[in-house]
Amino acid sequence: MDYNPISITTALMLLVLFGIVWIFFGWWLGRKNKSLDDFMLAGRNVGLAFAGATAMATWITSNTTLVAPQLTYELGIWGMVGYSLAALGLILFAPMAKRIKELMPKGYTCGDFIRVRYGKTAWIAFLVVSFCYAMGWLVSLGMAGGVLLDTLSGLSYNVGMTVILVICVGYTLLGGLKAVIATDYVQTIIIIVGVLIIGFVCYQTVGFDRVYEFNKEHHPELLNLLFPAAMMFLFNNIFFGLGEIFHSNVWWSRALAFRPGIGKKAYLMSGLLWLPIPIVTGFIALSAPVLGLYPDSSDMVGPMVAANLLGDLGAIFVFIVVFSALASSLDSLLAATSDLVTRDIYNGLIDKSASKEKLHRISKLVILGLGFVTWLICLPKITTLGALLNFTGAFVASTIWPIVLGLYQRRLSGDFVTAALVLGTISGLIGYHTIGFYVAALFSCIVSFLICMIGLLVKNDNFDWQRLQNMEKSQ
Amino acid sequence: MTSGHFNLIWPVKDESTTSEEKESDGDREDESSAIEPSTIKATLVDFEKHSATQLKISSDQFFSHISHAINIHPTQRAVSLTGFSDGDYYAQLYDASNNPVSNTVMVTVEHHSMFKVWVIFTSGAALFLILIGYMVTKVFRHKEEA
Repeated sequence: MDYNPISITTALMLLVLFGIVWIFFGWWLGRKNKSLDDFMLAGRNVGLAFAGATAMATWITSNTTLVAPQLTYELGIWGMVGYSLAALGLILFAPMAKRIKELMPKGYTCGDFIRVRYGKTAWIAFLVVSFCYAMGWLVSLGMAGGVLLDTLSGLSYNVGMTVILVICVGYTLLGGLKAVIATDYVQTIIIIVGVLIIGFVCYQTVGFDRVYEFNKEHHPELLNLLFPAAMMFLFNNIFFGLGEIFHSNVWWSRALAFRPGIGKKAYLMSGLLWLPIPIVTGFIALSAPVLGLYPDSSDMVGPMVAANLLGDLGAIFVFIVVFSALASSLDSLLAATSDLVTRDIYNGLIDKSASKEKLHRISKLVILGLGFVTWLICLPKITTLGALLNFTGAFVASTIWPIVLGLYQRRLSGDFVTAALVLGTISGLIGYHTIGFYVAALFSCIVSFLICMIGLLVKNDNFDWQRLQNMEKSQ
Repeated sequence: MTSGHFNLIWPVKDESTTSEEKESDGDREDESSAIEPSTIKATLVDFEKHSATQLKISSDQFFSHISHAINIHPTQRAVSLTGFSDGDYYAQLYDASNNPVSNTVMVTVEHHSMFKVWVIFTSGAALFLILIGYMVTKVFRHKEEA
């Protein structure tokens, strides 16, 4: 195939056009932001349509458009199914979103919950885990933007990565969570329509029979239900997805921003709508060998097949879809990580008496700072997208049980949660390095679960839920 | 290789020695392939006498039976391959006239043992069932306390 189906000029024009539209949209939505609640949590009044769209758009990220095809290409049927089952994260978070809103109506971040529920030591361990994950995801998104532009247009990686970061930082800075949610709504429509069109064209051009017959002969493991690495990956990816959603402030801030009674429906709806998307993008990846397409790097297989099927015009379409997916996640993550740093680190550790106005200013500075740090880490392109994402699985899966039990059990205490987070993460990292990326989250979750169970058996914290209502500053 | 997926790269022989040494095992370390560099024997080097247009893969070193003939772009310097069963595979670059334009490299694919796989799979399934059981009985049916 032609290596660069879009010219650099076209790519730059698209970038400028998108940049102007999104940044103007951010400014227009953010001009009425008056308070910290408006900026961080969109006034805590987001309705069902926007709520469902933002949850779905944020979950459809470079992970879905680039890594889901990559994992199907590498791990076959189980890679595709395992990735799709990450939707369980959204579905299982649905009742928890309702609980979160009820338990802490004045809360801002997931860190608030951990601090009050489990105490300072567990809170610091949680912040480390959460921050490592957020930075990993941010950097992977910036890198994905650069790689995408490089692959489709030949535009230098550094330029593409820089531009996408500037655009997302720009409109997040101007509009806060309101701009993020509104752009997510538009981006969701673009992504769903785009993925469905590409999937349909792929089905019409290649078809199930050819995909099955060709891969059976030339790439048999992809269709093998006893594919060893893929079998290990299946539950690992489910726990990775659960950990990502259960612990991340991206999802907590939305639960707190949605109107009362909306969160549960929004997360259920978005989870069910998201479920088939990786199946479609996975099928696209399985078609690659049939079309004689073997990418330089497996994470570019999705856009490569789509650009090949749809031609030059299609490559522009692919660019818009993937760009939307990247932007919808990057902005959400910037906003949510900024909340976490502002509320938990600045307000929690540095200036405990800061006014809301000051926190509002700090929050904007943090967004700028995060954008800059992400840009710096992205520059040397030290690793690949998948490497970074799977590495974070070891961190986030350790939070699943502490979060679930913390929301519904009074017994579990902070000491055991700290141990679960630390030892779970260490076990996940050991699994990552000794066996493979496909066990990191699973190992982390198993060890964390065992420690939490011991904690429930040997100690009763008898936590008072009222303390979350008032968001106590100290235990 | 333990996941049946691997990357091959072919630096041009005339390129600086530094770049060749950097990727001396002929593969690019890939996060998701769990590549063990020792399983790729030698470095695939494009002699660039003619442009390589095809990468051929065979399960025997004499290439009597070609299992994969992959067309490549003249500027392409890497390829990501997937879905291979256990065994030794040989790869070599060819030009448009079907003449070899590189050396041959051998890649050994050896998947994880099924015992290890079943232990990990069963553990994951058990933990997943426990979580779903807890969510269904406690979380989804939870009634707010007064």
